This record gives sequence, C-alpha cells and structure tokens, in this order.
Amino acid sequence: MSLADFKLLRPRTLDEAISLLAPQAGEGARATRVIAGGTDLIPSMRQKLFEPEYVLDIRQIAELKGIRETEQGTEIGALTTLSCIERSSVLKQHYPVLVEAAKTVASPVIRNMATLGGNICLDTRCLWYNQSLTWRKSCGFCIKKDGDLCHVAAGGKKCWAAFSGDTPAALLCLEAEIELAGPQGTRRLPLNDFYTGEGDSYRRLQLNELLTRIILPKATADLSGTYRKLRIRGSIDYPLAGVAITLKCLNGHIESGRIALTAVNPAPVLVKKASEVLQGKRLDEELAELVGDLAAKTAKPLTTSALTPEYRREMIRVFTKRALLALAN
Amino acid sequence: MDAIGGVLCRCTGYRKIISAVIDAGREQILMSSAPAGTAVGNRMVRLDGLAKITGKEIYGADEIPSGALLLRVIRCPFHRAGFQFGDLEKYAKQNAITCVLTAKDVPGENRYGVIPKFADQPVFAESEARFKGEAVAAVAGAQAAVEKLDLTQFPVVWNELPALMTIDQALTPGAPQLHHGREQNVLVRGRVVRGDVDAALRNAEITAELEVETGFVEHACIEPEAGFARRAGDTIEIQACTQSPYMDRSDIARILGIAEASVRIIPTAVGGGFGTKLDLSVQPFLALAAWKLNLPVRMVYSRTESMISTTKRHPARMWAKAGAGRDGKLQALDFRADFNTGAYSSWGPTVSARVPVHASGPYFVPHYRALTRAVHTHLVPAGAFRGFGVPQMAIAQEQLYDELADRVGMDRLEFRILNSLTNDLPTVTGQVLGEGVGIRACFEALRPRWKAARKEAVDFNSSAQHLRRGVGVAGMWYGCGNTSLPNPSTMRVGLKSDGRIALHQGAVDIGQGSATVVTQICADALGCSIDRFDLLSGDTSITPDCGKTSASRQTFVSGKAAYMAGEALRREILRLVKACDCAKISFENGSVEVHEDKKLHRISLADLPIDKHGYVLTAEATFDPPTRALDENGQGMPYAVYGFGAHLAEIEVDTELGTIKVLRITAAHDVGRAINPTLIEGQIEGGVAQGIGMALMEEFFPGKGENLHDYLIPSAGDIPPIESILIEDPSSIGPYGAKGIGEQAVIPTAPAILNALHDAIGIRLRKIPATPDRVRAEILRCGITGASRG
Repeated sequence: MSLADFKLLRPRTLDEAISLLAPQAGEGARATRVIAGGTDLIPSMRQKLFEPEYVLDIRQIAELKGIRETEQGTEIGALTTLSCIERSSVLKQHYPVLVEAAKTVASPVIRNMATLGGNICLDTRCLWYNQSLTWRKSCGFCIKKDGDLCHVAAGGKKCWAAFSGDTPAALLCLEAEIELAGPQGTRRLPLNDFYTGEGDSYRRLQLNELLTRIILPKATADLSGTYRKLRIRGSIDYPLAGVAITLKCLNGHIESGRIALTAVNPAPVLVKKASEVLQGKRLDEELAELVGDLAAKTAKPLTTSALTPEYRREMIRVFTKRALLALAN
Repeated sequence: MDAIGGVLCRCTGYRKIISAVIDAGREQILMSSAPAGTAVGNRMVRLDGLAKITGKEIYGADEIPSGALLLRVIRCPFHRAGFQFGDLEKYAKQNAITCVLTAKDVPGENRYGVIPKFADQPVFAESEARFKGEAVAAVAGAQAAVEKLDLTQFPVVWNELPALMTIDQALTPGAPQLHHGREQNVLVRGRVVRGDVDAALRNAEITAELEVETGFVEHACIEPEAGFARRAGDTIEIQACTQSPYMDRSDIARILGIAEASVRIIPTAVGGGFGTKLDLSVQPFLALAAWKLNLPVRMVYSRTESMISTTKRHPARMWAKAGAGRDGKLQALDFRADFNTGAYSSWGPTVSARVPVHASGPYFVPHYRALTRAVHTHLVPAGAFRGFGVPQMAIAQEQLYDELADRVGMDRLEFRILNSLTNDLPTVTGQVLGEGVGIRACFEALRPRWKAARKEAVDFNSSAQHLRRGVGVAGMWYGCGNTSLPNPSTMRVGLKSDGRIALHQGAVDIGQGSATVVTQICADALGCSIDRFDLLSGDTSITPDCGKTSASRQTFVSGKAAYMAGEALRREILRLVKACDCAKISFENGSVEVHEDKKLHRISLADLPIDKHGYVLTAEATFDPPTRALDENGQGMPYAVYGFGAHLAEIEVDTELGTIKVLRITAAHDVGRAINPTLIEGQIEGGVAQGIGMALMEEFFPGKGENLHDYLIPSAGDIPPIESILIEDPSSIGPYGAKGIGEQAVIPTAPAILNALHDAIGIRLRKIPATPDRVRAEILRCGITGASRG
C-alpha cells in the first residue's frame, strides 16, 4: 500500500501553523491532517482512511515540546514524546499514573516517535475500519468512513469504534485540562469535555485548531495511581481494555478516588459513581468488588476489537478490583 | 526483551537476537574457519552471516532491473463469485497501463499445483473465483501509473455466490462441488490401520477420549513474496523468493507452454518460508507478463495480499480415543481428523497422508487406526506449514495421552517413557527402525527439570491466590523427507585450478542455515577446510536439483548428497596419484598434496586439463533416502529416518484474567548428529516461538484480520527462556548420523503448553488457540474454585 501524494507544510512556530491550517483546513477525508509522531496517521493514510491534500508537520515547533512546572501545576507540550513522559522525573514523582500508562503504549521504538498530543487525539479504532480500502469496500463501507453500515451493531446508526489510547484514561483521573489554539486564540477545556462518545466524530477539535498543551493541576499531584491494560501479547498492541485509577488516602480512608476506562467505549470515560462510592470509605475486598461492578457497568465493549465483548467487560471489573486493592496495600 | 518489544521476528524466537546484541559488545572469537575435518559439530558462523548483517543479501524485493514494469493483481473480494470483465482495453488506455492479463493470456495450462496429480489452481480464475483473494487479472505498466491505480475501480462486475465456509457445509450432501471428481468436496483421504483397534479399545482396562479443533494459522513470513522476471530470447528468468526452485520451474514451463530447459529460476535470499513459499505466488504473474511483453516485470506482495492469497496451516477437527492397560502400556489408538484444505489442493494430500503415519506419536501402539480427510471449502488454500499437519495432530494425541496417564494413575512423563518407541519395536506402519530411536533419551533428559518444576509449581500454588502454575510435557516424532516418495538431492563439487573448491548446491537456504550445514558436511567429507569453499547456490541453470526445502530434508538428504560428493572428489584426487584410501590430502593455493605413509605426492593443478564444468576435477553424487510405498492399510516404510523430541512447558495461569504466561521451555531433541549446534538451537527456539503462537494466540479468519495488527504473532515479550538439550542418537543413513530439525522443533510446544494448562487448572479447551477469553470462559464453565468470581 503506497502513500498517496500530498503537500507537506512545515511551520516553525505555532502562529505559522495556525495561519497555514486555517485557510487550508479542507473537508472530510481530504481535510488537512496534522502529523506529530505519525505512528497512527501514516498507517491510516496507507489504508486510505485519510486522503489529505495537505499534511501539516508540527514537529519543528519548539514551543510545543517539553514539560514545565508552573504555579497551577505541570504543563506538558503536546509534542512531548511518550518516551520523554516515561523518563520525566517530575512526572514520575508527582503523576505516576501517567508515567505508568505511557509505558504501556505500543513499544519503545514507537514511544520514541509517538507524542502525548497524538495519543489524546488518537483516532478511534475498529476491526472493520482499520483495514485497507479494498478490504473495506469488499465488506461494505461503514458509518465511520464512506458508508452507512455498522458491522458491529447491525442496523445501528451510531458508530461504536473504540477509543484505544492508553494515556487519556490516566489523564482523566488526573483531571487534566487541554489547551487548543485556533485563529481566534486559545481555549482551554477539561479533557473529559474533549471527547464526544461518538465513534466517528469522536473529539471536539475544529479543523483549524491544534492541541498545544496538557495541563495537570496541582490538586491532583502526588496521588497514588495505577494503570492496568489488557492485551494478548507481551508488547506492541493497543489496549483491549484499560483501567486507570488515582486515589488519595488519609489514615486508611479514601479522601478521593477516580477511575477511568479506555478501549471499551468510543471515548475514554470516567466511572461516574466511583468517586462518590469511594469517598470516605476504607478500602476492602467488598468495596473493591462493588466499584469493580460499577466500572464494568460503565464499559460498553462491542466486537470492535479482538476477544469477546463479555470477556473485555469482565476484565474491566477484575482490573478495577485488583488495582484498588493493590493501591490500598 | 522490552527494548525490542515492537520488533516482529518469525524465525529466531527473539532470544538469539538478544544474545547476539549482547555478544556484539564483547570481544570474542567467531568460528568462521576450522582445521580440515573439524567443521562438523562446531558452531561455525553462517556463511551468509556477513552479507545478512551488512545488508548486502538480496531478497525478493531488493533487485529491480532497469526499465522494469510494475505488476499488480486484481483479486476477488468475495469468498465465491462469478465475474465478467468490462472494457479492459479502454481501461488500459485510460490509465496508461502497458497491459492487462487475464486467463485468456495464459499460453500453456492455466493450472498449477505442487503435486502434479492434483494440480487445480488457475493462475487467473476463469469464470468463477473460489476464494476471497483469488487472482482474476493483473495489470502491468510503468511504476508510477500502476502504483497510482485504485484497483477497486478495475472494470469487473462481480456476482457473489453462496460459499462453503466450513467443513460441515462442504460435506453436506447436495453442497456445491468445488472440483470435478472430488465427491462431497473430499480432496483426499488418508488411512493407516494396524491390528484390531475396535477389539483392543473394547478390552482396554482404561480408555480416554478427546475432541479438539484448531484454526487457520498464517505463516507471517517477515518478507512478503516478491521478485522479478525477464525474458532472454526463448528463456524466461524468474528471480524471486522460493523454497522450491525446481518445482517452480516445472510449473512455469507448463503455464507458459514451453520446455523446462527454457525456464531459469534464481532464488533470492528468503526472509522466512515455513512451507508457504513452496507454492507459487508472484512467479506465474511475472512470467506471463515478462514473456508476453518481452520486458522485465517486478512485483512485491503487500502484507494484506500475502495474507489473503498464500497458503495457511490447515484448520483441523480431530477426535481420538486411546486405551491402555492398568500397567500403563498403550494398547490402542483410534484417531480421526478432517482438515479444511480451502479452495485448492496445494499440500492437502500431503497433510492427509502424513498425519495418519504420525498420529501414534513416538510411542509403541499395537492396535491403531488413523483416518483423515482433506475437505475443500471456499476459503484460502491451506498448504504446507512447518510439520504438514503433525503439529495439529500432536495437540490432540499428546493431550489424550496425558488424560490416559492420569486415568492409569501414572506420572505423565513416566507414562511416556514406558511407552516410548524403541529400535526394535514396530511403528504404526510396521517399520522397525533398528537404530536412532532417541525418543526415550529425550524424555529422560527432561526428567530432572520435570521433577523440579512440578515441585516448584506445587509450592507456588499452595500460597498463590489467582495465579496457578502448571507443568506439561509432550513428545513428537517426525519423518524426514517425502512420505514414501522419491526425493533425491544431487550435489556437485569441483576442484578449481587455483586450489579452491566450488560447491554447486541447489538446496535453498531459507534462513535456517542449510547452506552452511551442507558445506560443513562436504568440507569434512573431502578433508578440506571450509574457508576454501566457494558456494554456487540454488540457480536452476548452475546447480543440480536438490529438491525443495521442506519436510526437514535438507540436512538429511542434501547433506548426505554433499557428503557423498565430497567423498567422491576425495577419491578422484587419490586416484590421480594412485594413493590408498587412508592417505591424507592437504589443499594449497594452486596445488594439492597427498601424504601417504612416507610418500608425498604433489599435484600441480595448473597442469591438469579443465573439464566441461570448468574444473580440474568434478564429482557429483545423488542421494535418495530409501523408502517403501504404503499399502492400502498404510503399512510400509514411509521414511528412512525420523527425528524425535520432547518439550517441557512451565506456565502460569491468571485464573481471573484467563491469561497464560509461558515461564520456561525445556526442549530435548534427538538430531542424530548436531552438525552445527548454534543453528539447531536457532531452529528449536524459532519453533518454540511458533508453537507458543499456535497454542495461545494465532488464528487466521479468512476475510478478517488480514494484517499483522489483527493477526497476532508472538512478540519478544511472549517468549520465555528456552533451554535446548541436544541428543545425538545417530542414524547410519544421514550424513554423520544427522537427522532433520526444522519441523520437529515446532511440534511439541503447543501440546506441552496445553498439558501444562490442564496441570495448572484442570481444563482442556475444545478450540485452540487458548486465547484468554476462551480460557476464562472455560474456567467459569467448569466452576473452578476460587476463580468463579475473582
């Protein structure tokens, strides 16, 4: 599968990037795509999932790189690679859950290229979507691209392609905010509001906007946390189910706790009732079971990925329970 | 291991890569030379090693003749469909394509197949395509024009037809028949019967029964099929990756309707074959285009194209019942298997024939019946994949024997030792091997680790919560070479006037290292140091026929031919000076010295005439292992030599997750004589990795998952430490006693892991691979204590 022709734009500053992006945003499959690490975009372009006229390469924009401690918390440039996240002593010390999640992404070689911004913006995935053009055509084009069928939920009108990034689950637990830059300036929103829950139009990012920064608030620094990932192989693969948890405990009681899931819904999601249920309690087997059930109920896995949906939902329950008990000890 | 986590390797099993990387930083001596007569048994460096690590080796896609056109194939998008072409000329003109090829453009027979008697696969389907991915047409033209094409726009109208997707559908009376003369879609049946199995099972004090199914397995060679062809006058030359240049030559000659002598096959280096590169892939398309256009034409399969169109491991549906006495002695085995052979015959007949010969395992079974069928469906053809069906069969048979041992109340390893085949006991085909039956030695070599591992597992399990450890063992035997069919190899070795040795060896080295092994053997037989050798490898115009690289035959058959050729050349040299057999030869630049007692003969090579091969002396030798046809009950002598082996798997099961982690594999193999221990370990570790894949994750669904993101092969993180134990119980037939190892290595891994799974938590799956969702579902179904709800 060869890469189709496209025009490469290589801005050196954020302003330049926005000025290039805004007038040439394009539409649909031809819309301009932003390339950072390229580890997801390039394979997708080979499969003709995107056929952009322009590709905007933002890798030379220095201001989008690096990790900075500020008064409000810690800011991470969207271009920061996952390897940098893994190695960052600041993050290891204050936001261990993010480091743990970053470490599970793909493989070291890919993490050297892949960026945190890219992992947040990662396209949703489905066995019926991430395939070659010939293959998709032979099965019938689906809602997410070129068609109106859903092979996962027959007769359905909603796209269920699964969000399969690892780090966003951790970021949700850290109440991360993101900064988007566009022609009208920058706007900031909680990461949780970035995702729509729809498999096809899965994120709230205007065609002329760029994700520039991830802000981890001071309030969630130093929480204990962990990330659990289901995959068949010992490396490389996307999560088939993922659970991130952060906890703050005082004298054996939970002051606050957050749980987020990935790879089992069209968006990474917080388990809403979990925080409420956990608050003020002492963590024991029974509570862990209860919260595990809550998490499993939040998960809506379908046949978008390998292994049966029932199994993947069950693993959300097991992972949640185990992760809670591990953090309690 | 984590550092190479994202790198896929299908040959090595990763562990040797790590040791090589670690070794590269150390000062150490690599054995690239050895004194005359000491090459065999040493860890000689691969002769092609330097070319491989410096990137100089030429693989299928590496060479592009100037002015070469690019070729792409249009494939059927349905499991079964009729089709009609639109205006092809107009399409070619509009898209600036040099030519479009269809079935009409095949000058000879539009039919090929690895076994001529069963040849049934068209180069291009004629009116109906029988599997999703079957070729119906090809386009050739300038690279830019052809690369740009969206082949889904090719002018063809499809008429999708109901397809047979399963063995049951294909066997249903009234089902559409794929091929004329193959009633009920049965391609072929296999049968081996000995003694009275029904009576023996009725009378057996203890019996056990088992059913199990396996799926398609993809070879996933890291190098997809690729090559080029060009016409030179009345000769067609094809340079491509292949395991079987001489078979390619015959098929291409038939397809083009020309003489075999007009076809030249030049095999490139091969980046993994495992059986799938025995069948034609790019070659017929390239040959047709280059022949018609008189221009060089090249093509490289995409990963998806390779996965949808090339052969797979046969899915097997197996049932078996075995009986033993209270003393633990095996009395009878009844075995049945149906193989889904897909749309075309490929190696289906071989799988059906080989499995019944092997289904006893390496044990003495007096009463025996094994019946097999290969059944056509509208799916991708299943063909040869490391072991010709025997790895699937071992999954049934070795699990069944574990069940039997448990019912007898015997230790599972001791049960196997008790029942091991010996030099004197007959096999299920009535053959008494008489020598080299090293299976018992393999099992005994595992005994210390077996005992220790069992104890460690029990200790671990007594305190673990969700984790359970288990230990499993499985044995195997595997006949080297074709089943009751001739499979000769011929080697030619020439002495050049400058004192160097030319070895014309047609055995295609597909990465396993046969070229090095064959040279080691020839060097010792001749009595000459290996660094004097110049290799001329696998070009059908310059090497005699060494058959195909399959059936674990190259070390054994081609190695023996190399041994005989080396000895023959030595005799020729001695004859020149009328020296006796015990004389010692030393090779110098431009001369050869023969030392006999106190006499010294010096032969000046420049004084000798040059023969028709261009050498001062030439010797050629052919070896064909002695076999005898099987009768209607499968009795006879299918192979001259068998390889034996046994693996011990230690695993950890997470009962809540259903995941299996392989902790360690100990592999004992009787290789007769280890010609090159490093290369043998390489084969074992690579075989274990494929066995782990087969046991735990690999299942190809035609029409789905046609890429290496969805089809999972083991990564570095999935491969445990592997200890190889080499047993040398020599065969007097093989070179220096050697037997094959290529396929033997993969067979026992999967059943050993599945036996370990049973040992750990007491479950046996009906469907393999043991993916975590299947394991977890079975755990819940069986209500295994402590795991029912985490």
